Amino acid sequence: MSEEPEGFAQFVEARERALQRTAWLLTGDWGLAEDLVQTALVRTWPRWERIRRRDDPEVYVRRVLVNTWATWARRRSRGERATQSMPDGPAPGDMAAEVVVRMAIRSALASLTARQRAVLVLRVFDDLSEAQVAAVLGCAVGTVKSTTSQALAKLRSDARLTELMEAETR
Amino acid sequence: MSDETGELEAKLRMLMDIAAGEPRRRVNVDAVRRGVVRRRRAASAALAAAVVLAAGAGVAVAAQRAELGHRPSGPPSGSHSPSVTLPGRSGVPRYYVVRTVIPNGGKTANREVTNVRATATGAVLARLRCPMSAPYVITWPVAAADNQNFFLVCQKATGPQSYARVLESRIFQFHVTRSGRVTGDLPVRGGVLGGLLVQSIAATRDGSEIAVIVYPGNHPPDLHRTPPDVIVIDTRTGARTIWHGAQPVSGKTVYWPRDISLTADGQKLVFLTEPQCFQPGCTVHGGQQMRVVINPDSGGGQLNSARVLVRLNSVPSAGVMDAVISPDGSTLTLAVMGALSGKPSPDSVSVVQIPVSGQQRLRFVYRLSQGDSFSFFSADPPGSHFLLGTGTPNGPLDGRIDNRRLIPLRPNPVSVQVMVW
Repeated sequence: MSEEPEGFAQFVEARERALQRTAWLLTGDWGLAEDLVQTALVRTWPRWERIRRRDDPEVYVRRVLVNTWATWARRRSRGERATQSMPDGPAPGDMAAEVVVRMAIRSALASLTARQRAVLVLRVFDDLSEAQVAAVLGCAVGTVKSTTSQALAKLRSDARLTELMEAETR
Repeated sequence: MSDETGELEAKLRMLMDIAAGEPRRRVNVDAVRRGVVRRRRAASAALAAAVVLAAGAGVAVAAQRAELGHRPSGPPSGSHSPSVTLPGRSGVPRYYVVRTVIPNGGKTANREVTNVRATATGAVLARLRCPMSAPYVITWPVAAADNQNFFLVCQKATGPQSYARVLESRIFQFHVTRSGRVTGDLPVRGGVLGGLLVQSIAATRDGSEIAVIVYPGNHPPDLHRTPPDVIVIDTRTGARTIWHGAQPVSGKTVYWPRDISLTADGQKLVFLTEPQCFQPGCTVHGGQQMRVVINPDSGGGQLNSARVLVRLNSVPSAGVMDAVISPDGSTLTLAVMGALSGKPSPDSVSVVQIPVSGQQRLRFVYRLSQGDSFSFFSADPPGSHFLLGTGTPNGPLDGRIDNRRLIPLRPNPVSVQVMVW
C-alpha cells in the first residue's frame, strides 16, 4: 500500500468539496466531477512533497484538475459519448428554483468554449485572481482578461440566464 | 473592471454557487490511495507484459511484411495507437446491432430478431425488418460505417437457418439517428446479389465501398466444397469487382476467406484464411494467414494469388477465430481461442493486436482464461472499440471490451448470434 504523503489527507479533507463544486461547473455532471477530482488527486499524490512546499498547493491541484478535464473534453469531442445513466436529475431535497438555476447555469456554461469555461469558473466562482488563473491555465494574464470578457459577453446574450440574474436583483 | 462587469460577476457567482450545490458523495483519501495503487500496478503490469511478450512467450507470430507497392492514404502507421478507451470516457458507439434467437421450446421454429440497441441502456430503439416478402428472410450479416450508417444483408431463404437455401440476397443501407431512430432502408447500388448466400460483409468507414463473401445459395449444406467469391461493390456507382476462390482441385492448396475487412480508403481488402485441400494425398503446409488484396475494386482476379500479409503460426492449441485490419492498415486485431502460452492449460479466449510491420510484439486487448467458446467479434469503424461473444464455464458472456474488461451488453439471457457496432 502506498504511504500517504504528509498533509495530503488534511488537504483532501479540507478541499474536496470545493474541488468537486468546481469540477461540477466544468463537467456539468456529478459522477464525472467526482471522477475528475479523484483523478486529479491521484495524479497529484506522487508530487505532493514538492507541491506542498509551495505557497499554494491548491493552485497546482486545480491546474491538474483543469488540464485533466480539458483532455477529457477533447477526447469526448471526437466522438459521441455513451452514458451509463441518465444525466443528473434533481437530487432529493432539491428545490424547484435550484433546479432551474442549475439547468440554466449548466446550459450557459456548455455554450462556452473549454477555455472560456475554465477561466470563468476559476475567476468568478473560485474567486482566483487573474494572475492565479493565468498560473493554473499556463497562459498570460492578458489572455485571462480577454477570455473572461468574451465569456461574460456570451453569457449576457443568454436570455434564460439574464432573466435569472434580473430576478436575483429584484 | 467596470461596475457593470463587477455586478455581473457577482450575480453569476451567486447563481453558480446555487447551481453547484453540495456534492452528493465525498472523495476521501482512501479512494485516492486506491487510485494511486491501481495506477502504479497498471504501469508495472504494462511493462511486465511488454517484456514477456517481447520474449516470445505468447503466440509466435511470424509477421511477414508484404511488398505492397504503395502506402495507404490514411494516417502514417507510426501514428496509429490501437487504444482501449477509459470506461465511458469517449467515443464508445452509442448503438449496436444485435441479432438474437428467441427459442420457442422446440414447438415451432426459433424466432430471430435483429435490433438496434442503445449501448448505455440496452434499450431496443429500432427493429430491423427487411423490405422483402418471403416466409423466411435472414437479416444477416451486417457491417457498420461511420456516422451510424449500417449495411444489412437481407436473404430470402427456404428456411429459418443461416445455411438454408438462399433464393435472393439484397443489401440495404440504413442510418440510425442520434436519437436512435432508423430513417428507413435504402437499397444499395449494386447490392442485388440474386441467389447468393452472403456469409460476411465489410465496409469502408465512409461506406463508399463494401465487400461480401458469397457462396452459391442453391446447395447450402456443402459450403466446404464450394468455393466462395468476394464481391467488392462501389456503392456510389454500383460497379462490382469479383475475386474468385479457387476450385478444390486435387493436390492444390486453396486459401478461402473466412472473414474480411477493408481499410478506410478501401485500398486493401484483408481476409483471414487457412490453407485447405480436399482430396486424399493433398498435404497442407503452414497455418493460418492474413492475406491482402491491393486495390480490390480494380480488375478482380483469384483470391489464391492474394499476397500474404501476416503468417499466424500459432501454437497448435490456439486458433484465430476472427480478425480485422485497422482503418489505417497498420494493425491487425485478432480474436484467438485456445492457450496462447504453448503450455497445456485451460482454454482461453483472447483479443490481441499485432502490427503489420514485421515486429513480433503482441498486445493483449482482452483475455479470458476460462473461455470455452467463441461466437462473434466486431470492431467499430474507427477500430478502437470491440465487441466479443464468448463462453465461460458459467455460460455465455457477450459484451464490449473496455479497458481490458468485457462489459456485458444486453440482451440477456437470449442467445446472441451476432453483434456489431
